[in-house]
Amino acid sequence: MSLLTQISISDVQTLLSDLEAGDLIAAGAQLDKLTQLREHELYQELGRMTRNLHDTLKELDDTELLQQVKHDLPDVSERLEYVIASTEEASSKTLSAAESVAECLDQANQLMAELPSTQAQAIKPLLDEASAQVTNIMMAQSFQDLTGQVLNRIMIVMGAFERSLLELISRSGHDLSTLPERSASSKREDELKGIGPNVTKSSQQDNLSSQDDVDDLLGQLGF
Amino acid sequence: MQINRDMKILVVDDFSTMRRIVKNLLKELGFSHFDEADDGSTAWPMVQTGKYDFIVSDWNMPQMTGLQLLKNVRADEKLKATPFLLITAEAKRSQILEAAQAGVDGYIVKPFTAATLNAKIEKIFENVAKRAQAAE
Repeated sequence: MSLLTQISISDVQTLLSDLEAGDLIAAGAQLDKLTQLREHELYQELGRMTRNLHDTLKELDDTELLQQVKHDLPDVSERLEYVIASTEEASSKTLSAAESVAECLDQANQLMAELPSTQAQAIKPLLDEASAQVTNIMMAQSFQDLTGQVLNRIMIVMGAFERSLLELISRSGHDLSTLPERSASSKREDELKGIGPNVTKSSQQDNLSSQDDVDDLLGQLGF
Repeated sequence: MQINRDMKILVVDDFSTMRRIVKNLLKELGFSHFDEADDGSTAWPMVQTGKYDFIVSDWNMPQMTGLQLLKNVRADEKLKATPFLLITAEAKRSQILEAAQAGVDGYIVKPFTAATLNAKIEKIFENVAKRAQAAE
């Protein structure tokens, strides 16, 4: 039923005549009566929405979705942290190498002073070009800062998203802690497809950490 | 104009990669005295010692932003004249205006080049010299 059809014209007329008569108490009571109707309608609407939501959540027994929330979402942050850490490590190695080349070039520049001037003149532009390129290599490492800032931001958003989903799931009466681990067969299916570097704590279980470990295992198998 | 290459510089960035890049570039430009801080909050007590002639800072850092660090510096009677350069990925018009209003001396958007850094530093210290002359 629409809100408007619930408000009777006579109620409004009564309110109007109370006001015209200056009877504020009666007008107040009449106004309350009118707004209560409205509130009642609102509560009914809210109740219906809540029931809808509740029903939807009750139907939320898609185990795959729950599995994803429990196992995959926390992994996302861990994987992104791995990307930040490994790009930082790579940038740091590159910077160390570039710094050491810059140091060599400095020394070469000093040694150049001892060379006959024709030779020095020939070498100077080469050293200058090498220095300029070392600077380019260093500057290119700023990608690590820029991509790291982007990933940090994504992690904040993902974290909020994960918390909202967990909240929704617990409201629906599901208990993630009782959710079983992924079945061995679905894990194996993923592994056969290839799952990339094992960068999360959970994926490091049963993971061989070095070539030596891999060789040992294969050795035991007679390879 | 002649810039004092012996000045003490504080480099503030939460990413160690960027601190290192900035330090290397400053070294190439002939500067040799640097300290580092990984956040505005760790930089601020260092700045308060009054020993820095120049601050080069990132904007977006977890605890205290470079903008807040700049505001702190400008609000301190003893420190407020310290030249302050922001090197940041923040490049919205409103942000740049905000930094200008807070009294930044130079603003470099990442990624940047060595030539840009050099040009901004020269400009900053040219202005510092002009201000000193005007004050005389």
